[in-house]
Amino acid sequence: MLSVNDIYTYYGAIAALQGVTFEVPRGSVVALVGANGAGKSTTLNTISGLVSPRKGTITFEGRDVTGWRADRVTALGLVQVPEGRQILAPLSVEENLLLGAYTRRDSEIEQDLENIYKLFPRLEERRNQIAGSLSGGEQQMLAIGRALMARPKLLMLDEPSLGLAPLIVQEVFRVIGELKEQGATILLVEQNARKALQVADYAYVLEGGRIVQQGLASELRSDPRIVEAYLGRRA
Amino acid sequence: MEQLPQQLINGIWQGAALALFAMGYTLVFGVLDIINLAHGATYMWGAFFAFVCITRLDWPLWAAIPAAMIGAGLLAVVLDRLAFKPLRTLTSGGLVLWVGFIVLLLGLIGAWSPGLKWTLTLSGAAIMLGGIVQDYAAIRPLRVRHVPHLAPMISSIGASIILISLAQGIFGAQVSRFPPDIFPSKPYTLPGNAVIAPIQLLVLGIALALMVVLHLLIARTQMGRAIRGIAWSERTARLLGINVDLVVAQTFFLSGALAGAAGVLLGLAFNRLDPFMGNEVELAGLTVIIVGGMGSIGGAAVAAFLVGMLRVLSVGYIDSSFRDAFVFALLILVLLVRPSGIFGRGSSVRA
Ligand SMILES: Nc1ncnc2c1ncn2[C@@H]1O[C@H](COP(=O)(O)OP(=O)(O)OP(=O)(O)O)[C@@H](O)[C@H]1O
Ligand SMILES: [Mg+2]
Repeated sequence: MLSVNDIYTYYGAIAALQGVTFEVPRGSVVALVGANGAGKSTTLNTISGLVSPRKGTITFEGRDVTGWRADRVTALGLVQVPEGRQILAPLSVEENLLLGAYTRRDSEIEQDLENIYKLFPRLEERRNQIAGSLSGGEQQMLAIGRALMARPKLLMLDEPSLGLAPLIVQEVFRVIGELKEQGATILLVEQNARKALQVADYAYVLEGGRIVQQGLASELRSDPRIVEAYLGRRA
Repeated sequence: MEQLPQQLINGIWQGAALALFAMGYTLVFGVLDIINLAHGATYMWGAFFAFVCITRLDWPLWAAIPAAMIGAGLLAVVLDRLAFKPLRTLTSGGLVLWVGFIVLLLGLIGAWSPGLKWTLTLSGAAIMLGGIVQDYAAIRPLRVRHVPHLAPMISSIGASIILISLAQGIFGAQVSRFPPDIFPSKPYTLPGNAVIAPIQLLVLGIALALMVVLHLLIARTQMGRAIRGIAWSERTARLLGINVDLVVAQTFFLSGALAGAAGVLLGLAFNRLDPFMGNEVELAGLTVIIVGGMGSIGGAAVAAFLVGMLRVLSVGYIDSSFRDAFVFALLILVLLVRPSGIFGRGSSVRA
């Protein structure tokens, strides 16, 4: 469904990505794991069109979307939940959700809003509250809910568990699991490799702007090198 | 010296018109963080658009006012494309737009034969339209630019000078007046011996109606939410699928249409138009948006009545030459005591 082919992305003279290649098949959850500064966010931002690759191609549903404007990419159904949630703080919770549906023109937006509230009951309680007043966990729920309002064909999540308490992390992964059950296609970027490999079907390991390893999530979970580098001794 | 009730009435209707001007001014600031110093020139052009509709095309007043708003709104959109947008992103459409603009200017200003003049003017306008369409259709910008903060301000001063010169060239530097019979002139008498002319009532009525409409647009529609979203974070807005350039154009349209409405209404009420009429209101408008809190639409509306009242009272009770002195005293006072404005906190759009 999404294929990223040998992309190189630079910030000035610094190469953040140096030939990244991977695939996200329809209906699968693919994890992209790696340490700080490995280039995970840069990969998502290159796909989303927030930065342009210097080389390489990105194809979504057979269409070359390399270097497209970000709003065009989102309008195609390739929707990113950015790192650090990036909610629109001065707008209310409900207004954030409604803006998530900006690219839609159908009549089922109200109904989807109710579905999001069912998925995240806490957002419903706070629907008229200013989004900036939500807790970190609630903001993450809002960011995911807002992306779902676009009815994405492929959802990209950038470190959804970052900075959240363990209980809230569980909640976030419960939702990701639920979306997977419903057949969603997800590209999940995580530093929490343990959790990511539990929910994913397939995974890629990114290091210094290159894919250094890949495989079925179930196999990587028990791979000694991954255990050593990303999962800690206990695993 | 006139009575207090009369002063208050004058302060209210003039404040309402000033509010229209200031709300458009602060809207663009809230979204883009730029002070559009050509807002006064847009206001002046709004008045002249209505003037042309009424005196040359023989349109009735009720059609001339919306036409002037639309004209001024479109003018503000073109202004954004010419003076501000190229500072944000460089696109091929932007370059085409500039070429068209130069052709258009040559056509308007040059001493050509009538045939050549029209050909140049119209083809310039057509090229500009092509550039704008090309810009909105572009999938990839050529380059995103980061220019110093002062650049848009200077660029808008330039745009303002061009717009004023154009008006001077077309309408002359002298004062133009609407025909005296376009609106009933018999004033109504109010309690306290105050009077209000029908045209002043019209100004107040239209201004209040437009304030309500603007509030609803910003607070309740998807466009309004997108405008506020962009004001907070352009990057996030893009990720939500918002075409930032289009929403910025909508913002400029609203802003220009409000300036245009203020221009026609005050032009009608005082019945005097000239190419420099924007300068004075720009100073008052700047005070209003600073006092109201930069970017706050509600704050601008309230502050406009305050400044309008201050101007009227200083003319009525002290001396007309002190009018702007008091406005500036207020401006400096607010900047010293509460730089974020009386009602403001930050620089994002609030309904
Ligand atoms: N805007 C930027 N300008 C310059 N360099 C950048 C920029 N953004 C990222 N980088 C650099 O690019 C590299 C990859 O960064 P990126 O944010 O993609 O990493 P990441 O894997 O998402 O890390 P993290 O887990 O900390 O989010 C890093 O070396 C980073 O310093
Ligand atoms: Mg990151």
